[in-house]
Amino acid sequence: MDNVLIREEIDGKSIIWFATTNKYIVVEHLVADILISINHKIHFDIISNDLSNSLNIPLKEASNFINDVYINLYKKNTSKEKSAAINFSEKPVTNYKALKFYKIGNLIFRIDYQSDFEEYLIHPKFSHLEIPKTENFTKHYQIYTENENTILFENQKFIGVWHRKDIHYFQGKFSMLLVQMMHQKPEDEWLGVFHASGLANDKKAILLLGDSGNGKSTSLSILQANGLTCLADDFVPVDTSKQHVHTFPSAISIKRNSLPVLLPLYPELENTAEFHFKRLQKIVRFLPPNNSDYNLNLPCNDIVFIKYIPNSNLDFKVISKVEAFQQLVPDSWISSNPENVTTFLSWFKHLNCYQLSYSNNNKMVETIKNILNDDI
Amino acid sequence: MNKDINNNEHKEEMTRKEALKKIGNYGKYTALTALGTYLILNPKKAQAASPEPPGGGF
Repeated sequence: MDNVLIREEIDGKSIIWFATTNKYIVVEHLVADILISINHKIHFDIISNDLSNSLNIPLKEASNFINDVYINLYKKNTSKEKSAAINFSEKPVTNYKALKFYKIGNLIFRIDYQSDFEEYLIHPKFSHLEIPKTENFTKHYQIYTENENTILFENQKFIGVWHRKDIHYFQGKFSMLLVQMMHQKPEDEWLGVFHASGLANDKKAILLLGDSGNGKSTSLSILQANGLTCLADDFVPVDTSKQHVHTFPSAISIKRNSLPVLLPLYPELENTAEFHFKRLQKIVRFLPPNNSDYNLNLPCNDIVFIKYIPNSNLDFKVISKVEAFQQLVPDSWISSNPENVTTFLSWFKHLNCYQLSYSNNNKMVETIKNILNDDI
Repeated sequence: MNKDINNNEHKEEMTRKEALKKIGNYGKYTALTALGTYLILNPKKAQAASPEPPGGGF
């Protein structure tokens, strides 16, 4: 049987997705044709002959090339590496330092934190959703750590265990459980979760992307103070059925060096948004998103790679989709369900991709609003 | 990967550059050399929050 390969053509290149390894490979169209032919079990002699004729090169060179494509691209991505599964069937521990309750719309959930460490991982992002103790919760999470492994239970059911070096995957899993619960869609109804800031006007959404430290969250905070709605920060879910950006109400993480810019807009950052974890010697600041319509979801046609560069002039330009794709994919979780991959590639193909660097906040706000208002 | 590099941004840039690869060496057959350039991209293995900033380890 053929292996599952999915192909999409974007900006003069072909993207091939391999189901076995969940990798995306950007190649020339001819190489994609070769990979598809190999997958259809077409004899190498026939493929080599075709390549030799179309490029007007000796058959031997064409044959070597086909063999290299097979070894380097096809074979490597159609044989699966075995991964060790961790089985964990114990019951959760019973000693917890803090029990906290949270409300998102009509959903109420309880989280038991074993220590400051687990609380530090989750609570600051959701503290604006905290409510007094109640018996009427639908989900009960228990989080504890043993030997540097953090363990998560949901309603007494084991969800997973993550080593400290993978702790951002624990936080991601917890956020994903909330997304699924809030929007009542299981994991395979999500196209992906993007490491971005999601903003919207009343009609559509836009994603701000960029490496950590480029100022995504700061830009988002400035934009939400200027009339746009924050749909999600850092963890932006997009569904499969409508390809809409959905809201996720975790608070916006504020770095110390953003404070001078943001304090005039958000005086509360000085005190109320600050969390001290003395034993961990950590101070973190989080700003609640301004959206309280937790069902909000909107289409997205535009993504912007944003960067704050001190003392720079505003530089705004369209970038190639291939360039955007190579920056987006390694930073994202994309569903590995083949149907969802097809939808993701088709959705991405129709996005407008931009790059924006700035130092003047007003000009940045104007540019983002223009994109959302289709004035570009 | 160079272990001395602690900056996430540098790491990510390096990963992207390393993602650009070439199949074989075809000498004078420049058409094949151009054809054999490819980019390999790994999405995250699971949903993730932002990793801790450099120096922010526990």
